[in-house]
This record gives sequence, structure tokens and C-alpha cells, in this order.
Amino acid sequence: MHTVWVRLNAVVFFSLSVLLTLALLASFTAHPLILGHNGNPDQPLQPIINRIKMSSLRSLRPHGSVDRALFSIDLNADFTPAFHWNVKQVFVFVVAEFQTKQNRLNQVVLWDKIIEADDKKIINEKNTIIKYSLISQSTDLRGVDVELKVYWDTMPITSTMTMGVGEEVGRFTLPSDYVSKAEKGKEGGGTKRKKRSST
Amino acid sequence: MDFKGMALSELLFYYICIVSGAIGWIYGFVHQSFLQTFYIWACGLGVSVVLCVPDWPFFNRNPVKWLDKSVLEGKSKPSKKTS
Repeated sequence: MHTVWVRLNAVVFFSLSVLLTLALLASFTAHPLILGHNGNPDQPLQPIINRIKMSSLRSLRPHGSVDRALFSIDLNADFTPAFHWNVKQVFVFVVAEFQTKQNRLNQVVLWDKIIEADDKKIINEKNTIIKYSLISQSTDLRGVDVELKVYWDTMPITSTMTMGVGEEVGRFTLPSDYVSKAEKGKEGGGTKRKKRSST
Repeated sequence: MDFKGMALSELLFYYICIVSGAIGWIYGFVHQSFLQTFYIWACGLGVSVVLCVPDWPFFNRNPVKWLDKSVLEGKSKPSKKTS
């Protein structure tokens, strides 16, 4: 403590230890039993998923050795209750879950969005085309029952990351034959096309 | 800065940092904003840097009293004889 530099070092690093303690204390409050939405333990830290469904199918086509489906979705959710002071951002993603002969459970991410603490926290997507098409591991998507679920990763400022899934499920069945985009565009119920012989 | 000044400076920044951190944490918790906590903590850091780092006059109120040179010389002579 005899020179300016020694004192500066002591002050800066002691206050950094204080900041670390504050961050640790804040991470304890991220526990769901302590802090819910707006610091209220009675309100669970959980978004409200109002609506998740497939709105219109664009195409279902084979791409080489895999099937690929493209469609649009409706998603209405309020993520305001998923935030408190120790949440930096929430990563929302829509997952298609389905069963094929090859796998009992397939999970494919179709759409995602990052909601930061300062952003608008209400998602209202209407007839939005999915960002990533639904691709299976082989040509087995025809006639498959698909469940759309909303997942989210809560990313805190200081704490562990947690993942949640909404109870609301959007169910639909893919057509039993391939549907091409161009033919669907002409409308009239979407003419179907025979499976390509190459697959 | 004298020895008592050093002790005072150290105690000062301990208390300023801890108290500002505690106030900031509680304020941030109530207002649900960790950024507010950080700002108040940073204010505490700024105040303690200004207050405790430079050699202000109030850290020099107990100057070290060195022994008189003649006293030291007077003592060293008999000590040489005994050794």
C-alpha cells in the first residue's frame, strides 16, 4: 500500500471480487424456487404458448436419398413471463418430432428466434415459411404424423442454462404422396406426383 | 503516505466497495435489472479509486518519526566495543 500502483491494484481487484460475489448471489436467485417472472416466486418463469400449428404445406419432395418437406407455420407465444433480472436472452426454436421405421424419435429444428431482454417478447408468426426444411434421414416422410413443439433455452447473465418445452403441440400428417412446390403454386388442392424412380 | 494512512486507505476502500455492492445488488433486485447493480458497483469502484489511491494529505497525519542521527551514532559506539 506504499505506492499509487499497489493501491490501485488493491482497489480494482478487491472490487472485482465484490462484483464476483454479487454475480454469484444473482445466480442463486435464478433458481426457480426463488425467483419467477418479475421477481415474483408465485409466477412461474415460463412463456405462454398460445398457438403452434402447421398452416400450409409448400412441398414434400425427395432430394437424392432423403425426403424434404417445406411448409409454413403459425406461432403465437408470449415470452414476457420467461424473463427476470438474470435472464440475458431466450433462444426459441420450433422442433418437429416424428417417428420413422429407422428411428423411434426424430427431432428436426424448423425455425428459431433469439429474444433478448430488451426486445419485444411477443411472437406472432402467421403463415411463416420455416427457416430450415424438414429433412428426414431417408425417403420415409410420406404419411408421417408430425408433432410441432416449441422449445426454449433460457440464457442467464450468471447461472446455468436451462431448457424448456411448451405443452402446446401442433399435430399434422404429411401427405401420403409427394407434393411439388410448382404444382402447389397453381393451387386447386395441390396436384400430387408419383414418387421418383431414382429413389 | 504514512503507515496509519495506509491502514485507513485500505479500510476505506473495503467498506466503500462492499457497501456500494450491497446497495447495488438490493437496488437491482428490487428493480429487476442487473445493469443497475453493475452501475452502482462501478460508482463504488470510482469513488474508492479517487479517494484511496492518490496520496491525499489526510493520509499523512501521523508521519514516521525517525531516530535522530546523533542518537544512532551514540549507540553504535558502545555496541561495537561489546561485540
